[in-house]
Amino acid sequence: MEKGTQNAIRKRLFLQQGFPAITLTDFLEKESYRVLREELMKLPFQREEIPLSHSLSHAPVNTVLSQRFHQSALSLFLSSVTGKKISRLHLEALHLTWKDYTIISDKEREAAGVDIFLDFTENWSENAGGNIVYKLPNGDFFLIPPKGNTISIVLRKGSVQRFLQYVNHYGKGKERLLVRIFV
Amino acid sequence: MTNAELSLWINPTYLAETKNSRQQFTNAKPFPHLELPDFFLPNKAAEILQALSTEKFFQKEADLFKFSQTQDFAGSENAVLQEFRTFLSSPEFISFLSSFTQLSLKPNSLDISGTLYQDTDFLLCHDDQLEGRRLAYFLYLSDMEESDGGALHLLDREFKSAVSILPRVNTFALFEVSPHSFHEVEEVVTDKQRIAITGWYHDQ
Repeated sequence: MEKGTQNAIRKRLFLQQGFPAITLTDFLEKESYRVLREELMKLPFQREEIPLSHSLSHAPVNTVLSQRFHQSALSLFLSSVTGKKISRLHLEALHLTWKDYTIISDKEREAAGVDIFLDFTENWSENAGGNIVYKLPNGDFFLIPPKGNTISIVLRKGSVQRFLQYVNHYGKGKERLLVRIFV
Repeated sequence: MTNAELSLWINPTYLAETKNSRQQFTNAKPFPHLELPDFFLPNKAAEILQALSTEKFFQKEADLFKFSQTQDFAGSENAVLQEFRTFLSSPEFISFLSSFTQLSLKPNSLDISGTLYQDTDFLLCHDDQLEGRRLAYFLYLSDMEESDGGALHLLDREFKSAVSILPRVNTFALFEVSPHSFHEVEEVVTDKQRIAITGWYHDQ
């Protein structure tokens, strides 16, 4: 991505009115996206159901797959748009289907940080839920809907809480696939 | 309010014998609860449902739930709903409830509102512990089948469903609120409407 574009993205992230979030569509080159998605779908997802916290499946993104993410290029890009020095990325794949969700914790508050999600969700129903939802201090909500081949970057303050919206029965038989990037 | 007046509202079967109900409540697993079918006299249940249908419902949505709810009946102008609220919060009805729950409940201190669950609405696992709540109650005003969803699940200590209560018109259900009273309302997956009046009694 050109420097000028990266600067424009950074400007939009930091200077826009309202919630500091940006979603870039068609982020990965088509064939790279398709191959990556195929490989992600083969990961050994582990189901985890802790009713007071979450219900979903997750898998670490193994070394070979991590390399396919072109970590150095992605790190440079993320450093450029967030203004943070990022040299090392930790990746986790999340898989949700009908009845999956995460809940905001009453007891633990996540520290402020940068949330980065690469979305590999295809054929999703708009009314199935599964949005990434941010709850703002004033009670408003900011939604990031499922859409394949997008990257969403959120500058999250400590007062903002995040959850993955319950996937309802319109998500039955469908798959919500995300890679969360920890910086 | 006397027993004679209670009998203007409640199915006489429940007024006659409370010992059975007491044992059932106390011994119920996974935590004390009761499910009382045909609890109110049919004309009363019908009148309440009719009155509720004129109230405005507001959609509520968060990480834990999505459903619609009326304002608390304390703020309602509907005479039938006000009368029902007065009856449920009366010292006499509370004494009747206490006869089988053995809980000390505060009279004239009742949360009460109408709830409506429609297609995709749900309420995830939680224990209801908040603001001195002691006894949760529900009056179901619509019938749901298993295939519709909308069942109330009472969960055991492993958070597995131990009891499933399918809404049936005029069933009055209640459970003791405690650190273990985890429950959830299953997502509604059809066009059926799950209508109820629900709320809490508080500690004395």
